[in-house]
Amino acid sequence: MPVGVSAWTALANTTLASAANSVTFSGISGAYRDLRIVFSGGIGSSNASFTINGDTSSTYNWTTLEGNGSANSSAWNGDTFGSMANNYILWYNTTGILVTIDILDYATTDKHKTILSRGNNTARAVNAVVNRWPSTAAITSFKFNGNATNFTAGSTFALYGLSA
Amino acid sequence: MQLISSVSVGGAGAATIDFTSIPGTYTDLVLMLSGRATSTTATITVAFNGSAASFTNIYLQGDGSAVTSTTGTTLVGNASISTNTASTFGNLSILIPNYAGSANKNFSVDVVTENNATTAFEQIFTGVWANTAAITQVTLSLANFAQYSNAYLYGILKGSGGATVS
Repeated sequence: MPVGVSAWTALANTTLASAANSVTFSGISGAYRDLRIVFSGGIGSSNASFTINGDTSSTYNWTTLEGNGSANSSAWNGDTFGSMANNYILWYNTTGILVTIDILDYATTDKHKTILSRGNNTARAVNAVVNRWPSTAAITSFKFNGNATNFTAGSTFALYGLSA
Repeated sequence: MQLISSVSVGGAGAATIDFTSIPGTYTDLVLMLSGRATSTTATITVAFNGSAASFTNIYLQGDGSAVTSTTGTTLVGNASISTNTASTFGNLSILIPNYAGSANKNFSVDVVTENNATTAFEQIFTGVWANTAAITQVTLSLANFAQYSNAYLYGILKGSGGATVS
């Protein structure tokens, strides 16, 4: 492995045998430096989001940068959930969505957590999203929320730990 | 994450970097490239299984002054070019999840070029290869890859331990 490339350790993954409204990684070990999460698949008819450690009361502020092939945009907002990739990437697409999420220093207890996401959907747009979870707690669980609809059968969710 | 294969370009340069006979034993592929062109042509293109057909992409790009978004086919990013600062190389990372599955292959690409001047590129791509075949070959093309361009292909293994999923 070349210098500068961290080792990825696969911690957990699942492929949905049938449509599901949520997927949760829990009991996440604190033994790694960073986390990477990869979602590949589809969602039925609405946007999706995430929550960390079951926290649905804090405000997760987020900023996006996006291009749809002709126009560019940037937005900021705050919700009581994390913006997984934003609506435009996820909305009304049953296949072909790829989202990668990086969480640096996820196990530290001295800082709020920054969540970097990359949304990919060739039918819609490409974007980069940053979220802040305003808590100094170590992250031990991460939940994908389908909200008003489900993640489609065949969707895959993978969690990796990165070590120095 | 395991290194499957690597390519280091020699003094003669190379028009392609080719990974062949990729085993289907991993869940995802990650390809990392440190690349520079011998010409002023910056564009790196991709082919899977020897085919450059059925690719679609959208990308977002900043060059130090302007932001643009464009659609395309096989383009996966820019390399540093011959007129850029000497000894600078661009970096490119491609993630291909479920590369051995039977669905169309989606992938994402993150790219930067290096240049000690006002113009250098940062690019993000979403791409799809509308083909259900397992990917056994990945080819990058550039006119041409300069000496010391290096590419690494990694396979990602399935998870076990360290977390549970439900």
